[in-house]
Amino acid sequence: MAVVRVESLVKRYGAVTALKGVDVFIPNGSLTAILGPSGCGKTTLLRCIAGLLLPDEGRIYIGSQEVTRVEPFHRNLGMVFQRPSMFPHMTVYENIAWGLRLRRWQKHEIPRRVREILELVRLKGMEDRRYNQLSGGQAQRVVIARALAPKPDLLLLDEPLSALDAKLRAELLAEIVDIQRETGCTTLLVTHDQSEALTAADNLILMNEGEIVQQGAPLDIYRRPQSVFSANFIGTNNMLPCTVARLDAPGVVLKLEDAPLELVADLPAFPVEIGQPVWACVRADDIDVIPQETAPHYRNVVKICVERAALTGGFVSVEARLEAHPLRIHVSGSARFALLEQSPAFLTVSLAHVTLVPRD
Amino acid sequence: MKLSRPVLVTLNIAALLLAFILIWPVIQMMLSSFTTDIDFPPRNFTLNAFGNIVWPSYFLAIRFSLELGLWTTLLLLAICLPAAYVLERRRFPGRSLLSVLIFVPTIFPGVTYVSAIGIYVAIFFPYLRGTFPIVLLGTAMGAIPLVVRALQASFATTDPVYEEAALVMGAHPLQAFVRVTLPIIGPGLITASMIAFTAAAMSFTPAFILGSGQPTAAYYIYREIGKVGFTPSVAVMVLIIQVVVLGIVQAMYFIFRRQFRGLFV
Ligand SMILES: Nc1ncnc2c1ncn2[C@@H]1O[C@H](COP(=O)(O)OP(=O)(O)O)[C@@H](O)[C@H]1O
Ligand SMILES: [Mg+2]
Repeated sequence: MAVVRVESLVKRYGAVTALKGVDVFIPNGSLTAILGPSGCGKTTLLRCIAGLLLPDEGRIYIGSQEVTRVEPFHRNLGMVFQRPSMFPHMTVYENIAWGLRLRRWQKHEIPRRVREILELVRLKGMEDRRYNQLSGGQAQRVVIARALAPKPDLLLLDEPLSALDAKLRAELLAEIVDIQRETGCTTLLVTHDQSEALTAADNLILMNEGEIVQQGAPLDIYRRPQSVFSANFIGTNNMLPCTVARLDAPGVVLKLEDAPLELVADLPAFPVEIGQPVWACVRADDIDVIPQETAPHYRNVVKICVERAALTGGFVSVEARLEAHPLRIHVSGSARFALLEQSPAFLTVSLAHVTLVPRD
Repeated sequence: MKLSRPVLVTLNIAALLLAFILIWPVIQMMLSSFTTDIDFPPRNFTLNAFGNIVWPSYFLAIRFSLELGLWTTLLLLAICLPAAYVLERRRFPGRSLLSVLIFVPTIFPGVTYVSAIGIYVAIFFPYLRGTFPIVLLGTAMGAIPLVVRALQASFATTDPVYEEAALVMGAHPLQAFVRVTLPIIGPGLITASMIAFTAAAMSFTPAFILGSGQPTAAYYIYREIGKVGFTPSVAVMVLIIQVVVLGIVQAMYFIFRRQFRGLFV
């Protein structure tokens, strides 16, 4: 199993620079997700790692070997593409067995391995089917099986679920996670769907416009975004313009712009000084509605004015105002239904978790 | 689109009329094959016309046509498969120029193009004049545009993702091409082969201008018309070569169709 390292990778398509010096580290045995909006260069990065594209600058290592210019067929990888890629002229069995033969597996081991891998992807008994006899989800499972069967150093998944409907997507994602745990195969999952990335990955790489924005544990990126992009791309975030008022032992005291209001936040990863403009990020689901009399026990207690409330499944989505600034809150728990009936109203809330990102 | 009934009826009549215009010469010829004279309506049915053909020499002409068809098909596939592949899948300098050049044979009428080949051969390869390879070359070159375009369409409608998957799985590019791309474009390959074979087996001009006497079936028939005019025996010869070529092409289609099960819709 391999550790993948990508160093200062640059890829241009004519005038478009799809990768602008990308550094990536993929830990051994991890399920790493690359998350970013459409067109940010995810596929380009994956194709460079697979060897289907030659980067203009930079290096790629798999294990201890540099593979930047190694042909794809010498890399020992497995890949699942965004579009259906099961060979339509071969049966399920042949699709998988051919890959094993290409990797020089012993003849007598092949049938056993195919059976084993088909069991893993829950396609037992479908050996003789062809592409036109399978559903979209089944065909994509065949491609996953085909990629995993030869025990690759690295499994590359380029939006493997995007062609499937929502219910099937969730199912197959859970299966991919299970399969990854079972095989321990280092896996790189590319997606533009944040919930997919947060659900599946133990390591998250956030990408935007050909650059890596942030890399780390999903929870860490969710809790401590380091840029406006990170803060906005994942989850629903409120961005409140503030200036640093004072540095106060473990944290920072902020003054909200255009309002006589102070907020406290943890010390950020970047250096701050008094008077510096910053964004205070508060996630819509990190805002707690509290009874007024318990206020002293909470952090950043403020009064907000509810303008609209709507039920969106498990929580009520509230559009409110904190002084002049719009604020979105997701309220869950049984108290949420009352909100639907009594807006506009005033609420006492606690901004439980405030993160700072630079603002210029 | 929903069409009103009168429009549908008109379209149907037009289609039937077109089919009739296209098929009528063939029917006329079939009828004439079994009469004593070319006439309509046909009278005096007889099989005499079959006896009036100089069979040994006509058989030789048919055999030559089929040989030419076979070799031309192979040569055309060997030339056009790579050409169509790079034109469709690769970006390289001179790509659009090549794309235009491939169409040169269709810009000039067949006779002038084949004559140009004849002049070229006479100047640069005089010792090859009238040989089979030259007739073969002349026949093949005329069909290049058709076959390249047919194959190009197949490549264009086949997702390159299959080839890429094969490469990542460990296949060399040639292996990927032979084991994955070719079978997937199989139906298009058969169509292209059928076009190539028919064009060559029915060809007239290259054997006429570049050859050294051995006629193809079409050339043989042309000579017969020159000698005796339109007679029932000419109709019989036309009928025979058409049945033979059509039979081979249909057989090819059915045999190869089974190879590409699952790809034909
Ligand atoms: N073959 C290509 N030629 C020119 N531009 C391309 C090509 N492939 C991708 N691009 C451009 O490069 C950028 C990154 O594309 P891609 O890697 O496919 O993004 P993603 O997979 O994140 O959606 C996009 O702006 C896209 O338009
Ligand atoms: Mg993509």
